[in-house]
This record gives sequence, C-alpha cells and structure tokens, in this order.
Amino acid sequence: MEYYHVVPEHAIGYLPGDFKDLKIKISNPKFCVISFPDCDVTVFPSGRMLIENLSIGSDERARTIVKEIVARWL
Amino acid sequence: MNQAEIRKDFPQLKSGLIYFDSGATSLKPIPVLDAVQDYYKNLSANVGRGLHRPSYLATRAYEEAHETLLQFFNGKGEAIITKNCTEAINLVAHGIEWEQGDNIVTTYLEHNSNLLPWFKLRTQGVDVKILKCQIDGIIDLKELSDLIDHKTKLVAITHASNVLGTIQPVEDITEIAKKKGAMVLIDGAQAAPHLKVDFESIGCDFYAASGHKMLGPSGTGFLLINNQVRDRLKPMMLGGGTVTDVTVQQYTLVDNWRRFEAGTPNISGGIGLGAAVEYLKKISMENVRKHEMELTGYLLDRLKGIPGMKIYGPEDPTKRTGVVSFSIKDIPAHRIAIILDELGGIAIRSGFHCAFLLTREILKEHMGTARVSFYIYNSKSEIDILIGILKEII
Repeated sequence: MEYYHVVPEHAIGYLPGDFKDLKIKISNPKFCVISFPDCDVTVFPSGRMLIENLSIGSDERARTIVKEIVARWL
Repeated sequence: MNQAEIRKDFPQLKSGLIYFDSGATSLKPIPVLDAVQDYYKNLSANVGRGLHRPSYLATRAYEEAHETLLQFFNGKGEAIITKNCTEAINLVAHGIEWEQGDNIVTTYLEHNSNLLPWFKLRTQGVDVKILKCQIDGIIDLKELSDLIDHKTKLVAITHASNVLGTIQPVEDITEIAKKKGAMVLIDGAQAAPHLKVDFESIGCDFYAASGHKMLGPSGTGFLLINNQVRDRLKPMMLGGGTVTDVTVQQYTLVDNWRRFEAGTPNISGGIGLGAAVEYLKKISMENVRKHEMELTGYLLDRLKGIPGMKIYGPEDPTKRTGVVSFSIKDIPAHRIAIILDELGGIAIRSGFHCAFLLTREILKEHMGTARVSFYIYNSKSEIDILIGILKEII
C-alpha cells in the first residue's frame, strides 16, 4: 500500500462546508476525511492532503483524486 | 541536566517545532554545526594526503574523532567512521569470509539494515535463522541459545528496538554466542545515542551505530571492532588511503582503520561526529538516560488515558529507550502523523519503520504504527501538546 502526501504551493486557508457529492467520513473543525471507494483522504484547510492506502504505483489515480477534491473546493 | 540551556543549543527548535523523531535522525547542536563549518571555513583540505598545514590540521581533527569515539565507548580495538549504521553493518557482511553452510542468527526485531545484508548472503549458501520475540520485544535467551550451533558464524542483534524501544541484554547474548564459537555484531543505532555503551564490557566483536542519531552530522555512522577479529574482516572497498604500497602484482593494506575508509571520507562529518561525542560527554549519558526514562514514563502514562490506544513495548521505562510506538483504533498511523504535524508542528514517524517483520508479523499492524522517539531536547510540556491533539482527533 502507498500513501500520497500532497502539499499545495499556496495555502488555501479554509475548509468548505461540504465537498458536494464527495462522501465526508470524518468532519472536524481542523480537518476532514473524505472517503473514496479505494482510499480515504485527510484534508486540511491549508490544502494539504494525505491520500491513504492506495495500491502501489497509483500516481495517476492520486492525481485524479486531487483534481476531484480541488474542483469541489475552489 | 539543564533542559533550557540544552534547548538553546538547537536552533531548529526556535520555530516552535516539537521534534519527536530522533529515532530517524537527531537534531544537531550548535557546537556540532560550528565544528562542521569550522572545517569548511578554516581547515578545508583532504586528510592524510598532504604535508601542508591545512591537510595536517584536518587530518589531526579527523583522526582525533576516531580516538574520541573509541574512548567514549570504551573500545580497545578500532573505530571506523562510515556514512551510517547501515554501511557499518554492510562492512561486516561483506568483510567476513563466508562459507557454504555457515549460518547467521538474527531476530524478527531487526531493522532492515540488520536483516537485508544477511539475507543477501543466502546467495552464497549462508543460512539465516530468525528468532521470534515476544510482542514486547523481549528475546528468550534459551531459544536464542538453541538456535546457535557449530555452523553459526555470526549472531547479529539489535541493542534497542527502533519500534518498541526494548533494550536487549547484549552482554548475556554475547556470552551465549561466544561460548558456541560465534562472532557477535550488535546494531547500536538506537542505543548508542541514549545509553551508556561499554564496548569492552559487552564483549561483542562489532558494534555498529548511527552518528547522525547521536547529534552528529548526516552521513555519519561508525563501526567499532575489537582487536581479536580485526584481521578477520576484509575491507569492503579499496582505493586511496587504504594501502601503504602498490606494485603491479600486489598491494599492502594499512594496518589500522584507514584500510576500511577508502577514498576521501566525509571529513566534516567525522569532525562533527567527534564534536557530538564531546557534547554528550559534557551532559553525561547517565543524565541522557535519566531524562529519557522520565519522558517515556510520562508519555506511557498519558497515552493510557486515550480510548482505542494500543501501546507497544515494555511497560517499564527502565527496560526500554525513549521510543514509543502506538496505534489508535480506526485511525491509520499516517493520518495520526500528518494531523500532529499540521495541527501542532509535531514531528513523529509513522509506518513500518523499516522493520516489516516486527510490525507486520509480530505486532500484526498491517498499516504500521505511529512512533514517538525522544532525545535530550524534548520535554514533558511537549508531550502534553501531543496528548492534547490526539484527544482532539479521536
């Protein structure tokens, strides 16, 4: 299993109330965890993310996940 | 030990960083940084290769670092400076003359660096016997003894686990192995920075450790060899600095540690490592140990109050170093680590800690664990902040 640590170039500074159709597994004032069919993603207001437990060699999938989250954020 | 004064020596702490990852590498105090910079500013020259003053001074400083190491660990043989503990162990793996049918005894506790060099020898017909341990990291000495036989050439064991902190009775282990005719290598990466280590008292043949985990610069480690085995170890690399003479037909190796340090070494690193040892001498290893036991006991106590918490390693702080691995039900270790960093500027390690056999097959933690590892600059108030954030995320 692999994790992907995503660090934004510029901090975003807030967490949206929801991520539209994405499933929020854990909601905390300081972070949330979004659940995808193949992994969980911990997200912070800064835009920093941890994509947890994708299978090894999932770079493309990780990029897709980041795009999906950011598209519903900004 | 004056904590406040010590913390002033670590510039990285000024940012508010809470550094609980000294098991990976330690922070570096100003005297070590000064020693490295002093070499580059004032002594920049190669060692053992010139009659000019800069070379003489650099050579002296670099040689003194070897002496400092040997004295600090009460060694009567040689100290070889390497780039890390992994290289130190590989020096032994590559330096011993192995024969088909030899075996090596090691344990499930080991870091990859004290496992993979031995696994690689399987291609030479060397068997590797691996002893399981209890979940708290205690090795059964009778089981160990039973595993060692007349074909055991080497017993390779960690002094203190990088996952559990468990301190092994290395003197007893060495005695058992020696009675059966085996050489002994101790991986002291997690012990040398934190305990008073007496190489002569342990009685082992090789003691490998990380300089960079004991306040020394990155790219430093060392191997202590006792005099009885020094001629049994062949250099892994040959080149400049390792010989006294070369002809077309043959070469003559230097009769000291230099034959194991081929080429231009990490001169500033070695000098910085000497400065790190001097720094620890001033604090004294007894004080280092006392401080870490207090912190470990305090952390163990405070972690117990957190629901879903599973703490690994001995309950008694006297039986472990300041390394504490834990997991929290339904919260992956990497998530714990990133939340601690983002919310509190707290640096811990998460995952398998380069010890797959231990974390997956003994602890059964298939996603790894979170690990706190202390050193002299850590405090109880930092632990309180860690606990506060952990309680927020449950």
